[in-house]
Amino acid sequence: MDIAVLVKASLDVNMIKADSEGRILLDSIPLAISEYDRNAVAEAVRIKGELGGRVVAFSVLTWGPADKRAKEIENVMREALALGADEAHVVVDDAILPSDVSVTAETLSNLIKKTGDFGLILAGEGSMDMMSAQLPVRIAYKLGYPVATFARKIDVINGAVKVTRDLEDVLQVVELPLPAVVSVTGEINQPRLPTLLQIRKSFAKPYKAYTISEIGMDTPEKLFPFDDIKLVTVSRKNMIIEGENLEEIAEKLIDKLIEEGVVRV
Amino acid sequence: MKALVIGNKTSHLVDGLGFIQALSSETGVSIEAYGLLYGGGAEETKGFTKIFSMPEASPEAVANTVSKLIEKMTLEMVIAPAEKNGTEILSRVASVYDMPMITEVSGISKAGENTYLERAIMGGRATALYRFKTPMAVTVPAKKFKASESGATPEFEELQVIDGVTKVVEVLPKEKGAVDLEAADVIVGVGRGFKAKDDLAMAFELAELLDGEVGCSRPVAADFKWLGEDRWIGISGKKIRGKLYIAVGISGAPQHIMAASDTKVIVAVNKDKNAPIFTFSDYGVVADLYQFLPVFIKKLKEKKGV
Amino acid sequence: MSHNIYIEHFLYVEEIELLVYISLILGTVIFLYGIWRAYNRWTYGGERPSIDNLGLRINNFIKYGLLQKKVLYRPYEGVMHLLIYIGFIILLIGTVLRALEADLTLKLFGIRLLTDGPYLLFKLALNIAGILAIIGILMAFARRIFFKSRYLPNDVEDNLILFILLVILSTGYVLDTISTAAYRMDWINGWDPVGITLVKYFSSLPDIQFIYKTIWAIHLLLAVFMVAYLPYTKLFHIIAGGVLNTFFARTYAPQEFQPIPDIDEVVEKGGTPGAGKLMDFSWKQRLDYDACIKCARCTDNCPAALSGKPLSPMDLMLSLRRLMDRGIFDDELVPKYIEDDVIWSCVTCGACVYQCPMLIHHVESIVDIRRYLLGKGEEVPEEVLQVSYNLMRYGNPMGSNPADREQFIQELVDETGVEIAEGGKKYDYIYWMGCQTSYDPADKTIAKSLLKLLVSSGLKVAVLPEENCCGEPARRIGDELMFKELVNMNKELLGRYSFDKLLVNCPHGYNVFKYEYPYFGVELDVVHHSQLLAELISKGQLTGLNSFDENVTYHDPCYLGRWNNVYEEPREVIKKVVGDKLIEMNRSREQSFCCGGGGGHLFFEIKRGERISRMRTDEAISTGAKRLCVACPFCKIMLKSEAGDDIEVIDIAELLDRSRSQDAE
Repeated sequence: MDIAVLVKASLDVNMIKADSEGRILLDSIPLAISEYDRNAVAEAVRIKGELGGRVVAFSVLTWGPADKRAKEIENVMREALALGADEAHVVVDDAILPSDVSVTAETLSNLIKKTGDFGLILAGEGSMDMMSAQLPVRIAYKLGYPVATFARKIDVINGAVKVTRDLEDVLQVVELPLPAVVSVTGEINQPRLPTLLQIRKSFAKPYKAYTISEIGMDTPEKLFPFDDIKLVTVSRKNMIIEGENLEEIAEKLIDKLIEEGVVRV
Repeated sequence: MKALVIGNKTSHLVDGLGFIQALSSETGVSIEAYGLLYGGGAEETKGFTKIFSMPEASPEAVANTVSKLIEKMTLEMVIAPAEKNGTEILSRVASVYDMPMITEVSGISKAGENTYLERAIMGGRATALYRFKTPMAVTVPAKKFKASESGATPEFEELQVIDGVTKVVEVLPKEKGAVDLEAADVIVGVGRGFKAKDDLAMAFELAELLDGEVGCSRPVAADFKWLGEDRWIGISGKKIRGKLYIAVGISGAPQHIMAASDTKVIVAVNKDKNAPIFTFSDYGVVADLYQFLPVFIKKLKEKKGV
Repeated sequence: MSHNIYIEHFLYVEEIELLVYISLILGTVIFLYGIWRAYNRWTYGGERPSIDNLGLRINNFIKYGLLQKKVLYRPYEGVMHLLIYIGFIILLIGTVLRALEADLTLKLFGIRLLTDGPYLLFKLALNIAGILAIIGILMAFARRIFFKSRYLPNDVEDNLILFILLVILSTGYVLDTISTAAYRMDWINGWDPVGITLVKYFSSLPDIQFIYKTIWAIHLLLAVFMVAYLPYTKLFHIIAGGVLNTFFARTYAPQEFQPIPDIDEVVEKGGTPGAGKLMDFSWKQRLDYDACIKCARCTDNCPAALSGKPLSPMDLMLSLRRLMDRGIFDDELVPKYIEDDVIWSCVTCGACVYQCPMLIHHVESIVDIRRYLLGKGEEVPEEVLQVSYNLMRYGNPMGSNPADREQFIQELVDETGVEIAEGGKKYDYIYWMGCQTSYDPADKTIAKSLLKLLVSSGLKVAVLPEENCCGEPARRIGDELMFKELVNMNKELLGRYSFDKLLVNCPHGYNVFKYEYPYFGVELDVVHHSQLLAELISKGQLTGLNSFDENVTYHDPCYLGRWNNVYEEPREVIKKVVGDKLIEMNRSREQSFCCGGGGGHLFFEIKRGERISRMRTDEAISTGAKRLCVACPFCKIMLKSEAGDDIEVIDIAELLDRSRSQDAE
């Protein structure tokens, strides 16, 4: 059984750059493999070890400009190859940049359909830059496959896949017929970091970049044109909470934390 | 405009209602709120026109049912809790209608003519603002938007579940396994400010209240051996990247600070106002932890009603 | 006179003279086989010894081999060894001369070499040599019994060899005494002091001929077979170490770790660079393993060993030697024969290399093994892979955001008035801040202090708008490919600017720029800030310095001190503001004990035993000093993390800056 694994060339969240007003300078932030996609690749490689087949990594460049980023997305895919994927296919095309999640899903599903038949399509639960956590589901609907999200365990048995979903309070085990799309959490495995040497060696594996017309697509319409989105940085507030007494300080702090959305009461 | 809030707890409906009210006041558009509870009874929540109910089902089945409802009622917004099931259900609905979806909206703001929905991106280091438009799907975190539960008493209606191919085989309790700081959302860090191992109980109590874990600085794990090394936050220990880190009695050795720097919100409690940790925190409390923690825990319990 | 002054050869033993030839032939065969075996195992795989730089090699052989410069680093052991060494050299020369006469010149040509005056001198010299050697051996026993160092091995072989040497020496005196009694009583006088003294104990013995014959046979066989088995025992250090390892010593400085010239080719062919198996080491490295004399100076000074980590440099050398003995050249070393933690425990402080009297480079072999492990990505601590990955992605080992550095540079410009380097302008100094100083909050203050001092003293100095990692951590964790990439990037980066000297405050950068970049065609004049500050002080260019009235101590960074011999300048800087309040730690200068942060250990830790940083900080605290001065950002972080409120860890630049910004305490 061949396995497709979706890998995002995400903005590197450790390399955020912003102008003096805090507006993010997108073009200056390098791309990096999205964290949970590494887990997806590692899981695909594990399943391949059990069932055989190929692991093919797919990606679509979502941040432009294409000419500058073409090399970066290749490096990202080389990392997936270094982790054990057998080949990589990507779409790099200015016509869709910057892409939104719907266009990305549309492009990826076309790319996957063009490349082959896959029993299982794995992806990280969300991308490290935008973390909107909806792409795996959107792809599944485009492909007409069943989907399960937030897997911390995957068992492929007799044409079906049993997925243990890691929910907030419980583990929910669901079963889907193949082919299916499954998104994985960071807990599913512990992928090793590739070294430069392993990445160099991955250059021996096939890597192919397409434009959208090469995969038979017209320029799709975006649900969220980028003009409608603003991105700004957050910096540490360095606020010392003061008050008449400790009770007051504690209350103020709790209010702040609730406001930040990091404490639920 | 009509909006549907879905969830499997009444609190989900209240959270969604809060968002609708906030959005309505920002945009000036009046929004009619509908609710859908899957699993659990349909408790009365004032402010909704109508509350639908259906039994507990797989996210696919819930999404199928909701999609049908949208078609029937010409809903322009769907709102779900920013939890994993809510996210999957809403992603499905958004896919069916090719609708934009904003995950985990943390605020609403206005700039000129436009209203923006805010959400944290890039591991909490940046905020994205999306211009509000319809149709739209949105997930909202708990307690983020306060609702005023007033107005008419809602009607109720039971819905037929529309099943899919996903079979829920079983539901298992989540075992509390080994400490995994790297995956924890909330971490209470303890440092040299603690004078005895037994005193760490305060930190554990706080962590439990916040549904988090206890981490520590190097001396606590390596020198005093009060805690295991799986709890040690440092460049050569664990690197954390949760939502909240509360550093208690930790002055902030460089390796420690670096390892915690990916956290969204950092709080420091230290009696030394010159402790380096304050420079790297969002909120600081200059106080003796032995005096502050009990008060903080007490207040937190009061707020949580435990 | 009834007897002319010469030797009576084969006294009493003429009928067993054949024993000499049989044992010699047998011994020679055994000896030569041992040498042949050793040569083969060194040159396994076809590499042959190189005798370029002959002058330097001869010099090294004289300095470290003949004159044993490094053996004398320790007075007691040095004297002990010197006595045995000189004693046996003289005895060897004497025996060879005597054998030449007996078996060659006399037999073939009837000529004697040793007669009259020269013979008497010969006799006296051998007498004294024997005594020297015996004293040395007794000292060696005393050391083993009463004050053995912590890691000195003390097994049967070690003691048996000393004992056999003692037997050879004492039987020699017995033979000498009986010979004196037999034919030279009336003329030897004081030229054979031992024989003359002992002769009275032997003159009344019955059947003296039989006793002589027996002892002669024992003496002969022990001596011959001791030499014959030399290549198989620790005494092989005489040849493998004292002669070969000094003559074939590395002709580059020990702090210059060597590139892998064909690394790209190796990778392209799907291979893994570095040493994974015994056969992957150079012939010289395998010679190192045979040169070890088990003196344990390396391990006795190794911070990893002393802190309870599994590494012992000596045992690593000996394990590799045993693998050569067993002929295991093609098996992977780690983890089957060598535990991975052994390899990752090394902080590359160089204490072992400095201490080794045999000029063994333990760290080079360790780094070669790391190169292999890292290349495979197996048996590597997760944090090390993270360092490697961070370098690849962020250009610094911590994974810090380069944008933070840009911000910091701006802060430096605002606060210190330093310039940001521009192409086309000429600078006296480009200040390479290095990753720790650029990103780590605890080290950023060093850059601020240093630049305040330099700008105010009127130097034309600039900081770079961007920097990559200098590559030192990459190299020390074995990521040679990354290192090469970083060097090439920095070559291009530095090539954009025009400057006289590259200033660094990090000894790791200092070492790598000065000694390792030239291999990649990058020649830089590198200055450490301690050197520059000392120079400015001596020229009177730093003004407004007040003095502190509190004790301070100074920690010698391994890569500034031991590896690079910069000991005085940082002390001059400190003394400028504290005068005689500088107290030295027990272990300072060449003996300095690592902060625990070298060899990539700033970023990972082998969590076994004690922490090196803790041990060193405790040592500093025990001096009673109020401040612990450092001259390395790695040391500052490691020691500061341990110090708490007990001692203030401060860089020498910060100390100077502080003395200016406040009145004397």
